[in-house]
Amino acid sequence: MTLNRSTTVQARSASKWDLTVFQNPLACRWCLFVGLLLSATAASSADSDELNTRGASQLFATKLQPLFVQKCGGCHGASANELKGEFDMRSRAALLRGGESGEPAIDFKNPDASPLLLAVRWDGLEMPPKENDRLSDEQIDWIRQWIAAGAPFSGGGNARVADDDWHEPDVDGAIRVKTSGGTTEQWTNRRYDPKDLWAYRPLAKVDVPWSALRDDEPRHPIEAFIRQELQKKKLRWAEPADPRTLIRRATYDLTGLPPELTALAAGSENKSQPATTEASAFGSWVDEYAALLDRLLDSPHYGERMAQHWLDVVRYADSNGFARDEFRPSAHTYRTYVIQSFNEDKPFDRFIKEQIAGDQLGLAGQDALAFLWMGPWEHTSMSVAAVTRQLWLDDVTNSVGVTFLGQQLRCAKCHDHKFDPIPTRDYYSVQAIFADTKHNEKAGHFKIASQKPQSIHILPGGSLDNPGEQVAHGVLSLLEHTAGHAAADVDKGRRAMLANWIADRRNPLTARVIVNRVWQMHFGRGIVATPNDFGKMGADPTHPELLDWLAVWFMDNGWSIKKLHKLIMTSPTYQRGNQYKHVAQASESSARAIDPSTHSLARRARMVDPNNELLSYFPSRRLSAEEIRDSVLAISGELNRTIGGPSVYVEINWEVAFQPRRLMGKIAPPYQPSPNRADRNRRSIYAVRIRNLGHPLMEVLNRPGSEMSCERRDETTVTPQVFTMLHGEFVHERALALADRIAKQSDDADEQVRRVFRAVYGRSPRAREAELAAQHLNRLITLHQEHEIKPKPLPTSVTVENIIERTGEPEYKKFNLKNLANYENDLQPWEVGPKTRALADLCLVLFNSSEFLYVY
Amino acid sequence: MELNRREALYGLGATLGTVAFNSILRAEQAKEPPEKQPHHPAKAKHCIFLYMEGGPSHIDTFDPKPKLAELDGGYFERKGRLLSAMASGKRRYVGSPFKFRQAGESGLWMCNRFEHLADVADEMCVYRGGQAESINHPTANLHMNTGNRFGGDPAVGAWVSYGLGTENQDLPSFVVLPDAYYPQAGAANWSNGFLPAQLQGTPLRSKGSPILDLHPPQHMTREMERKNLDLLAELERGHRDRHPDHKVLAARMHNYELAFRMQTQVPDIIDLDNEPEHVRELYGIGEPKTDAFGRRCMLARRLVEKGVRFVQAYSVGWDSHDDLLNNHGNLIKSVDKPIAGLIKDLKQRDLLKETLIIWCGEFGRSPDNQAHRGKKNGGRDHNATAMSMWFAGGGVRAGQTIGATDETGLEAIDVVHPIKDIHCTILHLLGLNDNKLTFFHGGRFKQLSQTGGEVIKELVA
Repeated sequence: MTLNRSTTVQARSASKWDLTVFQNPLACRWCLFVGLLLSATAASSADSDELNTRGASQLFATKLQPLFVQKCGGCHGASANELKGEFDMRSRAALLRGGESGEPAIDFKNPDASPLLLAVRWDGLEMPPKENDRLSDEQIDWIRQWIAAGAPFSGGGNARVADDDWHEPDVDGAIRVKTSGGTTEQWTNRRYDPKDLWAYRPLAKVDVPWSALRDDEPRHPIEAFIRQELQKKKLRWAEPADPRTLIRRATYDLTGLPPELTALAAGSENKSQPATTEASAFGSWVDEYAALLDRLLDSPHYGERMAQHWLDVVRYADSNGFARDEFRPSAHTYRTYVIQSFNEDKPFDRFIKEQIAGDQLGLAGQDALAFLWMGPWEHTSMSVAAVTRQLWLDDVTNSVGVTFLGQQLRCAKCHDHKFDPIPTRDYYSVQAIFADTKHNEKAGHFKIASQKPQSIHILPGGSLDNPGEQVAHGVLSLLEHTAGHAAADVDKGRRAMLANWIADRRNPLTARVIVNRVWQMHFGRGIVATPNDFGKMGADPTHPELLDWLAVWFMDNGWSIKKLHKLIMTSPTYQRGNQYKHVAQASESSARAIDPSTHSLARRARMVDPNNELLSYFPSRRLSAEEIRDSVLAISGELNRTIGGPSVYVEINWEVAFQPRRLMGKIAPPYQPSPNRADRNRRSIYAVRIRNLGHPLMEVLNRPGSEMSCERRDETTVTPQVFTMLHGEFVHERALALADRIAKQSDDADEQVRRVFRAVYGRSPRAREAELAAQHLNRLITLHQEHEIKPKPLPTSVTVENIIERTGEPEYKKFNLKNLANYENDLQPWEVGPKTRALADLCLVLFNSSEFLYVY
Repeated sequence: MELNRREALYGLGATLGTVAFNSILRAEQAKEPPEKQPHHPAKAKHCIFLYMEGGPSHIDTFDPKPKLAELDGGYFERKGRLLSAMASGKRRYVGSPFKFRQAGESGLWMCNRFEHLADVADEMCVYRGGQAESINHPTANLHMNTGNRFGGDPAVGAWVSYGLGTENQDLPSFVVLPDAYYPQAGAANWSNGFLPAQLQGTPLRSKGSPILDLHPPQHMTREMERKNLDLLAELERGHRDRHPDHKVLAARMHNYELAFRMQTQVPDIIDLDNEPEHVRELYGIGEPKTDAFGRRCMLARRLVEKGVRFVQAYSVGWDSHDDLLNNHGNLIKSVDKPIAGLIKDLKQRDLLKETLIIWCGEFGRSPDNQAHRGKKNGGRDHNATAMSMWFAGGGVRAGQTIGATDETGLEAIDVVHPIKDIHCTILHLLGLNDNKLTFFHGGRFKQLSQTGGEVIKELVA
């Protein structure tokens, strides 16, 4: 029962200084009373159904009155002359009078037939009319009980819902939050369920629950937290993954590239499983694994992998987007800055300060500040200057909130935040931080500089047409108490103040947000499943104590992301096998778990924790778009591993490259991949990102767009992926390159098969696989011998159709493809014989197989 | 990948277009029919959305302004606090270069360049009360197509597919037929946004491969591909035995087989050569001016017949800043016969009553234009405060003109509604309720109208 939970949280919160708690001395008593009462009704047994008047009054005060205000007040309680259906819910008398039908909304003789009740049940009338707003069964039952008990308005009198007199001390553990104040008093005095405010509380000092681990087990703090929750649900956990699986998992997690064969070979020698309880048997593997993690963290490819996550969040692109989609020639310096920062293990608090106020704090230059203009933006002759300035202000305000604080500040742009304690005033206060920042564009180059601050006004409804009250710059007012010290730097500039506040230990959001992002990189889901939204509408943390413990540990360890990876990856939690069957195996092989229900443990895990939120096994994942492209190149031996630098024009589907693309007033020239093969074969993170030009292979594999921040990639399974992976030129060319390399190493078919399997899977084929593959090669060689192919030259020009604006007639414009004239082409099928083509088919099949595409 | 609860609740409910993923889940889990029940009974089951990109002028198509003939060439003063460079300079009123006449028994006003559309005037419901918000093409396109000016949200077609499911498991439920070039803002105009990826509009390209990489490269034959798929299936079988809990593997293999089948099915559908000559003629196929859009209209009909839920066909280039007479004259010519043919053809097949047809652009055009060297310039600028669109087919109040603009066509003044209400109306005509067609994302239940809107009752029969 939520009320009981609220009580305990409130008792704890009373000693905190961050939230203003209006506490009535009687509150706890009442709360217990109401809690018990509602617990009884929640069981919905007929015998405990009745409420007495006092209980009903309390129910009204704690639950129904806020519910009526929230769900009905807009149309039936705002003011006397704006009532819909002439129905007024602001007083008991009005409810009894009813609406335009003249029928009372409450029927005391037959409460179940009360029009009010019928309406909220959507029986006849449908109220509230929006599906999203519909009352829950529990809420409807409150109304039913309340009517049955005489429908008392609070105190038995005629208290008015819209009036102030419901601001009585809270009796249900709900709390009010001190902010700079909303646009209405109702909002300002709004009450929150404490569990929706967890993210704003100071980090709790949590003790590791060591007792969750047996004495003979490795003492890893993360495992202790995870096991505590598993045990609460009486769930078992999977046995450790085998070393090969773990090496592959760790290597992709930290570099986004496939493991070296030598690393896998070393893993294969360690047949013993790392976490059997006899320490001596796996001692050497533990050391080897730790050494592997160190090597991976030291790899320059680590920074590329991490930067990919970060660029998703900040929406990196090489162009402006919108109508002209102007190129941004200096955007890449930000990407290199991010890669280097992760490679250097730059303390995260410094990373924050550099991106928000590197100039004002004397820490970094324009490279880092590019964060402030990463979003889509443009100013053209069609634009209104004030509107484009506002476009940037809105973009940067929300971006800072989402990226560093896990707060969707945009929600407070037009009105006070509907769910979180963020008044619209705060939105504009944060926006005013940027009022002294000039954001200049010249031919795609941006520069962040200082200017005389413009005045910032609240814009009701978000519209520039009717500016409201002017606001001063500031931080989120509900966390203002954590900002006091930041004022010290106020003379350095407003952004300096903001950066200092965000990057401060006392800010309860910052460390939680980044720790959660890193956790998600490893487990596919954060402890909070919505890394960009830590507010009420975001997900609740599955392991709140672990999150706080990690956040504190992270800051105590110098805000080091690399140390955090190592902490997570050395945990038994991270090293588990990935199957329910491993859960069952764990119990079957364990002498302590001989228990008649052993074999049903896997089923139990599926029932109790269907989404594996409690991590009884390791969640597998598909490789991301970039990992797939990079891996295919790495395996074919073609990957160019250069780090950093300007964006490169990688291959894209030719039809898309040559497809006419309309920009404001012109047709964009065709996309021409770099003539230099080594340039095309760079890692995907360096592929130029033009906002209005897609890369079909990347997009079909769920690379997000660059308009909105992406907190977590989707992982869909759709048919167009088949076309791309099975027919697309890119994968075919890589398969052919790999086949050609292997064919040159050996002309023995069996050896070729072994080499293909080792290259793609990092292991030799099983006997059955070797047999199938050999048969396949034989058949395919015959088919290729029978199929004659002709060389297909590259085009030297492309003619695109344009519609002339003046006439609406088509015109044809010819573009010469200069890059293709001296194009260093990839190996083509007509340049090799049928045997190599058949071997390429085998490579293609393996590139399309789940063993390659998934990390377990 | 395990299906998480949210996907199970909100994702799987939507049937999955191209993808047989859903059918597998259906087989393995619930017995849910691929076609879903609408929220309320409605006549229209399909939608063909004819999108005139660039902003067709209401004043020169379906909303005649005789007053402008009087004012023609006179000075115009633009008011308002927020002006773009486009609104600056000396401006003069521009009268329409076209004559108007009333068509059909209903006497619907249309420009006399619409020679063929006049035949089906009594099937049309013209709406003159719509208002956009943005006067830039990309943002206005995104607003009309997705409800969100800055992109990232699902297109109308994705929402409709999500709500109604698909009738054909082997075809996408939302198909886009682009013109020579993509509209401004590109593929974001048919995005699935946060809805399941299967609901994304699939562009069927008019030239080259209709779907990217539909066929294997030329050095491979279908037989080779069959052999490759057989080997893949064998390898996957072993892999699945080793990973019995990895649910998505079954769906993956199904996709490979579906992709193999689509290679023969899709070319079949887009091949218009087997249509009888008199039907091709109806759409203007074979005539130079009308062939391109005629093909798109005929393809739209064929797709709807095959059970595709939502087809959007583009005509680009309506951004007539300079020369309405030529620009709009030619463009009207290019779409007039194809659209009339589409309506006639649907009607003779008894499909019109269950197909909703929408004709619109992203905004209307201004009654005035920036003067050229002080003289009148016969084009128009963008205008977000007035536009014309029309509806036909299932559930539409045919033969009516609803709403009105002021005497110069600058602003809508009667039955005025924002785009979100137009979206609610489209959904309503297809049996869907915007308030019920929601998807939980980013911390709230999202809907096409963004924050709720109302149905324009005057448009509904």
